[in-house]
Amino acid sequence: MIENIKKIGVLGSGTMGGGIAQVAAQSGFDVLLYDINTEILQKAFSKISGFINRAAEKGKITRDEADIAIERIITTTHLPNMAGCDFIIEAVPEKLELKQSLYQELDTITAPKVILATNTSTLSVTQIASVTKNPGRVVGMHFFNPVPLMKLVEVIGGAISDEAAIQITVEMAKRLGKTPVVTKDVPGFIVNRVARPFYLEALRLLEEGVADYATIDRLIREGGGFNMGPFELMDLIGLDVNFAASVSVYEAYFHEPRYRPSLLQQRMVESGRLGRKSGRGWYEYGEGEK
Amino acid sequence: MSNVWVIGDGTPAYEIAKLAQNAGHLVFTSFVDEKGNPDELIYEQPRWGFAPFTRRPETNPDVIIEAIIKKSQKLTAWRGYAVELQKKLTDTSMLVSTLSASATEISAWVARTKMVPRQNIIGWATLPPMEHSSAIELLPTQFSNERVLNLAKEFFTSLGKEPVIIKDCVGGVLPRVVASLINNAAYALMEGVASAADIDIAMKLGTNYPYGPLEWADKIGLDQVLGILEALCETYGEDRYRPAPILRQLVYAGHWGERTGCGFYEYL
Ligand SMILES: NC(=O)c1ccc[n+]([C@@H]2O[C@H](COP(=O)([O-])OP(=O)(O)OC[C@H]3O[C@@H](n4cnc5c(N)ncnc54)[C@H](O)[C@@H]3O)[C@@H](O)[C@H]2O)c1
Repeated sequence: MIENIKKIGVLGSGTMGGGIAQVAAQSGFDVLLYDINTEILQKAFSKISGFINRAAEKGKITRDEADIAIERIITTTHLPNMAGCDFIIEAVPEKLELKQSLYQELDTITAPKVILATNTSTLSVTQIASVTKNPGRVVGMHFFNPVPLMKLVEVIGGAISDEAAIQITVEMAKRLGKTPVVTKDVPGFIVNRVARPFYLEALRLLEEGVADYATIDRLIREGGGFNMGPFELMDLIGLDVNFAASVSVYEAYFHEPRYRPSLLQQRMVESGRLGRKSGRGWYEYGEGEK
Repeated sequence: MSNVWVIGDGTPAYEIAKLAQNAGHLVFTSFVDEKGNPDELIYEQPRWGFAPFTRRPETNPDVIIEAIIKKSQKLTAWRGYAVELQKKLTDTSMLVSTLSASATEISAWVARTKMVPRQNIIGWATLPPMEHSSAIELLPTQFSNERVLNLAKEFFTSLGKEPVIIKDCVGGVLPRVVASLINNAAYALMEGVASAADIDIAMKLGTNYPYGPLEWADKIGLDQVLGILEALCETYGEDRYRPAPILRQLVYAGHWGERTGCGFYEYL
């Protein structure tokens, strides 16, 4: 089955879709990249070819390899062209109705054996699949940002996904040079769920005055061997994004106390100190450090 | 070089004893069983590779490092040793593990045995594996005096761990954060979200953790992790810390991790 997959369709040419298209092309697949207008697609294409060219300049790949990879990527604004794809990865904005309507169309455009993989971070794969006539072929394929650098892919089996579709997606992740893990369709999947206490307990320790944020970061790094402490990491991710993730997981688990968000973090978000991107979060950043 | 007496029941005690010995201290080690009574069986466990240590200090120790996980064990142990020693160790400093009780609470019990005055007591906290860590948490109580504080700093510095002072509490910083991560991963495993191996791989590749939470639990000792969580649960009275039933099951089954040959993973 997996051997027959030659052409991958990627929906959405943003941060994730662009990265996925790049990785797919560099892994030897033909790529059909879809977005809503040609302007966006042109921008995405020049960004992707820029990354690939830079890899060639740095000597990570040969000039020939770079040229071939870039040539493999074709863009389109015409969804029915997806009919020619053997595997489809969707990375459009995180809106349920948008994704659902797209899947309904894809359901009629593509052959029933073609797998439809969604890159959703927070929506239910099952709910996206539910609007199609062949929900068994809809799975989750959760890449991490930046896609070319991050090895992990969470392969999510929805409640009614076919086992075969999950297995093919696992193989596909491997062919893209990634390390797949298989997870059930639960809020946050593995990483965004299991990681919550890293931030939430650190925030509680701060709220209780056990130590200041810099000391907590230091103990987590130097005592525990983590690369970054929780507060440094929140600054990198963006306090608003990190807070929203906690709120979303908390709500999705029907207010499970383990995931209760932090009031202190909410106040920080309200204050506009969002982390590196705003020049100040828990820490202050000079212009150069952003 | 000091005369150090390490008393404990698991991996933290073992690691501290080994580090102290490597740093040139004269180390004596005592292990206690699940009830807190001296246990020679644990001591003889080949996995500890512990043969060079004698059991009890011949003279009054300069430092006692207490690394017992459960509160009930701590109580039994201190009553037992107080009776056995039959003397007051007024010059001995006592560094107590705060993984399952605050240093203030432990001081109160020890003070009752009159073995060591409470000014000589200070808390410490960290997690195994300690070989790569370069910082350790020190938790002074309102009674801890300068002398014990300085001695604790010197002792941990001699082990290559820089002491960092935090407020006295249950579980310190690193143990509380990591035990919560482990508990959350254990729930995910129990609920069949993914396999143990996939959970660990995901956390290492997806968020760059030094160990997967479940393999980390096996290194720390599941008994120790459960002890931290039970103490947090009791202290805060919050559901947030309730230990995953799978963790308890494994501990009941004697699968405490690497040390016993089996935990979330099997070790042959
Ligand atoms: N950014 C991350 O860190 C990250 C990580 C993992 C998963 N995700 C998920 O990936 C998906 C995409 O996120 P992103 O960060 O790449 O977003 P993005 O905003 O960077 O890109 C979305 C792209 O989709 C296009 N688009 C909008 N409407 C469309 C439509 N109707 N049909 C086709 N394309 C359309 C947009 O023009 C844009 O190019 C989301 O589901 C998100 O949750 C994001």
